[in-house]
Amino acid sequence: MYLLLVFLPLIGSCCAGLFGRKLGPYGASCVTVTCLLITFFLSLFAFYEVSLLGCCVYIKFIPWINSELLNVDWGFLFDSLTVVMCCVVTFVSSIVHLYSTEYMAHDPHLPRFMSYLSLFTFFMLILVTADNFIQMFVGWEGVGLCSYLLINFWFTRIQANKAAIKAMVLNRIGDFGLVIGILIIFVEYKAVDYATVFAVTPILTNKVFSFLSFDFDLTSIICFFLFIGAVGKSAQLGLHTWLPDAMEGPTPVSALIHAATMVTAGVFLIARTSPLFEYTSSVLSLVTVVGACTAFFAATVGLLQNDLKRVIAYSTCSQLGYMVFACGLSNYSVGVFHLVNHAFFKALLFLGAGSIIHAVADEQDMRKMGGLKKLVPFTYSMMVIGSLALIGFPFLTGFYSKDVILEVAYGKYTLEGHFSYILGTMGAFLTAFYSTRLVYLTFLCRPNGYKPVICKAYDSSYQICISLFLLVVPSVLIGFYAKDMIIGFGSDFWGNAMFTTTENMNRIDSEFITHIFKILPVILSLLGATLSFLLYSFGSRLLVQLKLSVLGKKIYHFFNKKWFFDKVYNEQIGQFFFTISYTITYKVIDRGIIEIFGPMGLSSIITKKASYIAKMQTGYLYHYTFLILTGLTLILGLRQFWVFAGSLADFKIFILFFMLSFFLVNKKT
Amino acid sequence: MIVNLFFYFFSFILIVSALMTILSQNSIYSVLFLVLSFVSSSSILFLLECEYISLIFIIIYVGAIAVLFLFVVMMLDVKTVYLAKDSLKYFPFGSFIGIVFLIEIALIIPTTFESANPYNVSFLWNCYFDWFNKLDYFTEVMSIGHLLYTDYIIQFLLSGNILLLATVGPVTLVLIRSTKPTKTQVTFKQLSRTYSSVLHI
Amino acid sequence: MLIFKEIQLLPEIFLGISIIYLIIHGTFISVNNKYLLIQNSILYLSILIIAMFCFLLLNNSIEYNNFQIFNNTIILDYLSFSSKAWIALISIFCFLMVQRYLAVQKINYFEYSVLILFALLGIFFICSSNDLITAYLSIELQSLSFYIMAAMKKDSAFSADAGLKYFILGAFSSSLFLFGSSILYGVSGTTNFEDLKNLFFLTYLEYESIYGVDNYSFVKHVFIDGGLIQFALVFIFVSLLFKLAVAPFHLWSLDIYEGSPSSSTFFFAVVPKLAIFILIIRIFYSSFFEYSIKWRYYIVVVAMLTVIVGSFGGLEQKKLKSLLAYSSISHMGYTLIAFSTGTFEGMQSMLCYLFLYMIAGLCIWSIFLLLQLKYKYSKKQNKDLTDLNLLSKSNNILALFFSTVLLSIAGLPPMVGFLVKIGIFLVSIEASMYFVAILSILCSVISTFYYIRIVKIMYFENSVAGKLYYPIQSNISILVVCLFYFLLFLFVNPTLIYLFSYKITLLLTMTVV
Repeated sequence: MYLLLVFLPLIGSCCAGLFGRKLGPYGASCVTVTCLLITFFLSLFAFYEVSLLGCCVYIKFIPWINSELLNVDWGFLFDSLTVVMCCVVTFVSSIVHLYSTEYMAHDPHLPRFMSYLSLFTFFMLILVTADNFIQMFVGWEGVGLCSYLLINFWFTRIQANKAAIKAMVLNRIGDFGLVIGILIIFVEYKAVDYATVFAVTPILTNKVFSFLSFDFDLTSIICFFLFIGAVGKSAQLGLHTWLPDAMEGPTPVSALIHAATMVTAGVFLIARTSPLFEYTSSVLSLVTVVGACTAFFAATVGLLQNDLKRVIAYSTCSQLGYMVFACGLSNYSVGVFHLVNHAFFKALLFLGAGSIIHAVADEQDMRKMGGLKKLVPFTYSMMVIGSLALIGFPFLTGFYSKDVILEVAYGKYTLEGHFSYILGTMGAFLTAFYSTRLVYLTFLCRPNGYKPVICKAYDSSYQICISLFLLVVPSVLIGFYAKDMIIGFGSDFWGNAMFTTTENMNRIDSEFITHIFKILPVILSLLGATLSFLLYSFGSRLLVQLKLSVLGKKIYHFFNKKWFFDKVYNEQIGQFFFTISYTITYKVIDRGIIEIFGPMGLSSIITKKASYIAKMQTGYLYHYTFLILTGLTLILGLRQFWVFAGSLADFKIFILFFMLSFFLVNKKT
Repeated sequence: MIVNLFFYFFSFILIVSALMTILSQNSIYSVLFLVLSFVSSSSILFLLECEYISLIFIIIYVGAIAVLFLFVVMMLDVKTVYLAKDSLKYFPFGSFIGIVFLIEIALIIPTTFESANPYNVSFLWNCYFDWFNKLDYFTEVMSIGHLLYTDYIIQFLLSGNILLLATVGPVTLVLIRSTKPTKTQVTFKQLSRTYSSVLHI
Repeated sequence: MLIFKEIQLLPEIFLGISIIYLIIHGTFISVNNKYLLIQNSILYLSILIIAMFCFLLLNNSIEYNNFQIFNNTIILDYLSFSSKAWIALISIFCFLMVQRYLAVQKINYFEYSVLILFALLGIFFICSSNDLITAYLSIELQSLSFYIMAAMKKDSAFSADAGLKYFILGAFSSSLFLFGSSILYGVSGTTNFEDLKNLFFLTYLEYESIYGVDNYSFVKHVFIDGGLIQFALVFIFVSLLFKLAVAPFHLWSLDIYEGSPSSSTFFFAVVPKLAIFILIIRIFYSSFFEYSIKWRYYIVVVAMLTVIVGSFGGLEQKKLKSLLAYSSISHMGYTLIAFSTGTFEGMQSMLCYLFLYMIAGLCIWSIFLLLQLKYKYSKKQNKDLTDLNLLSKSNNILALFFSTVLLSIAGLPPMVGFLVKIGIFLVSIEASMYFVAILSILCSVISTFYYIRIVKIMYFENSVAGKLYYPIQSNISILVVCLFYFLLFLFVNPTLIYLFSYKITLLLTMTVV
């Protein structure tokens, strides 16, 4: 059953991808949706068995790499973390599959699309169920690949190509860090499976890892590189720029990959390797700071974006920041809880956005919408629920996890804890502001779109509605119902899946923080929502004036252009590397050094040497005799040389002489 | 003592005559020096009490081979070669290699025999007494014959084979069998014959 | 009649007697005024004699026994037995291939076959010699007949030149051998390999325990430092390397391969190398294994030099013959690398390589001899590379065969040559001679160039018309095809040659220890 859970999406993907032409769009969607639904039910069952009954499943499938010390098996590890991720992934994925059957119905490449989606799900499952770093990395790269394929699904659009390449390249930077991390693990632990590594880590905490005569703390350096991987995948500050651009892909893709599942792989990685992270306070601080900065930064940028999907994308980025800094504060369960909740309501938001976009003839600019409340009432209600959940409206899903995150941040009583609390709270305010702005601009304000578009706007049909409705349920309820189970006191829900050292444990502290700091985030979010609603309803003139003032213009520009991250990346770093790659690696090394030592120079030297050797054949008898005598003397001399200096001289020095002789002869002739 | 002095004398002559064989520019002199070196080396063999071999040496090398050389040299009338020009060119490097070679030999041999060999202490006064000769007399020819026909029979036969080969080979090389060349018409030669090239007055 | 008591040597004795009979027979017939051309019949008789030799040899069946006869001067073990059988087999093929060439070049002397038989007798004796005197005499027998074979083409000045050079240089190298042997005899008082092995078998520590270090200085110098022994061994070694045409001593081989008639070159290149290597094994591996730490270094240096010279020198050659000469030089280098490891696997891969070298040499040279250019006026025997121009058009099968063999000896992966070559590299890496392995691999790459150039000339030359050749007789072509299939078979089933050499090495090391 557990293997089927992993491989069913692959089967579906193969069916749809390889035989899509035979099956047709309808058949392909049927196959993949069925497969995914079965997978979902299987993972529910696994959830029951593993999490609720508390029996972990560990499957050693087949050996994969078996080379001296490197032993890697295809193994599957189902503990609470895995099955929670499985449930989320398969649930969102099956919803998205269902949704896509309608959303992409007009597209001739529907089977391919469905195949990619299923393949993605398969790799995501591999990622979460892996029992060693290498297999996890396979899944990691696989979802990256699928992300590329799906962003680039409409491969005729240049923007999609650009976005896909950007996603690939930026992810590569993160992957590079991850690979280095795994390699260091292998070098030092001589093992890559989780069980061994996690068990050995406490012993190796004070070990020093030397590289190029620099000494690093072993655990820290490993965690640092793993975190770089997480930064790339989870679009944290610095490597985040690909995520908003990835919105060029079809909306279901954004919902599945860039909101619910793939981008959370980084958080998953940190949670999974918590036994490593726990032993390195410095990297934990780094994680906290980066997460908090991301949360705040993305919220500010989201404030002034005009593209519907980009706003949601930045909100995703911001929420990922919350999760990451929750992990950085050693509250992995809270981070994962937020991950789960976020997956539901963010998928809801994205799918709702897709529905809107569908309704207004593929228009994505919020300024050209408006007044859709009457036209698409169902979508409207869904979007409002999603936004409220995102804001953290009391008793909706987001409320339970986000507030806990901010509480534990304050309850840490450390510098980075307070830092993240302040930024997180401000982020919560901004989140509320832009979510309300989104809802207001799209639905409530006067219609700004073209007349024919507005006239033809309609609510989508069954599949979309069903899938939206299915997502609303957990968006509303899951936080309330699962809170005690997942992050409640004394809950043994996680078992051994995640590990927190006792000195890092601060859940109890967070319960007893000052009351005002507890309710401050909620108040601020509500305030933000109200302020935004009021400003956009009644103070639009004020907003315009603010926007047109000198300072306001600059601020608007700054936020709208995403803090100039793209500009700096493209013009400074990108240009720099282009120049280097052309002038140094291509011109100097490829065409220069390698050419001289390789084809051009070496061949000419060899022919010269050859003629030199051929010249020895003079035809004179006494030359030959003399050479024999010389050779004899040489060998005897070598003997004498070894007798006197054999211990001092290295045999390899003759190789050096030989190499030098190439160049000496070359100069003479 | 006198035996050891003779040994030094003949060795000296041997070395000098061998050198002169190479260095002398007249080939007849060379051959004569060769004869001298043969004679002196056979004398050394004589001193080492290998009378049979030394006599054979003189008979074969001096009596037959050297005389043959002399005949050949005289018949061919080889002019004296002036080696000065060439030898100057090769002298520095060649002598360098030669000296290195000699040094290598010189480094090895004394170190091996510098030991407490009882005969080494007073080489000049070395007069060892051959008890075997006194007790059991056995001529050299006899002993060689015994060895050759019993223990080393196969080597003996092999040398016989070599001698056979050495006779067959040169005869084959020198023998020109009277095969008449077949007469063929070479068109090119015929056509290229002109009046002027054929007629000589 | 003493000689017939040692019946194990019957094959060689038979060969010697047959040679004498052949000489008498040939002389009686050819002194006639009518002058019969008995070249062919004598040649076939020689083949018959070699076949009989093979038969007698196989009948001896001394597989696992290790006889030492004639006062321990002759050894008959599996190494000598198998190498003799192999050489005899190869030489039968040589005889068959040579026949037509001799007819075309008008080398109509029956003595030619007799000379080859003499050389083979010498080679067989080298294979089973267990004594420095026997070794010297048999080497002389072999070389003397080779000198004459080199000069056999009487109307060619080159041939005479080659013969003379070979003779003088060979004499020089023989003198080195004798000098080394005499020193060895002077130090140890014996010329027998078995006795030498017993004398020098003890290690340093054992000598120390027996004699003490400084008690008897002569023993210390001779046996522990081994200066003089090594000195003598270097001389013997150099003289044997000269026979193998290895790098600083290789220059004679080019001139002599070029000058002498191709049939003789064929023999020089293919047949005697295995025997010389067996002698080297017997002296250095069996008798003086205790000094292997010392002699390994010379051999490595010489081998590297040989590989470099062999692979570089071939690049500039225009003549096919001298190119093949350089190729054989570089092969000797690889073989020496394997030998210099001094390990069991080294010996084994060396023997593998030598066996394959002989087969490949047989193939290449037989093709070389079979290709008779259609020139009316000159019977050019020495082919330029350009003479092979577009051979693929005029004789496709032969070109295919030729290129396959060339690629095999170049060591391209799907051929058997690759397997034995990689064996040598692996062995040298196992003996931690990494730099040697790397250098020899690089040189192997360079030498691949000139093999592939021949293939390119045969197949892809950019000219309108190639050269024309006389057709090959059908019976000879069957032989060639057989050889080709044998090569292919070895590729399919390399275990044959592998196990063969494994057995030889195993039995050899069993007798050593």
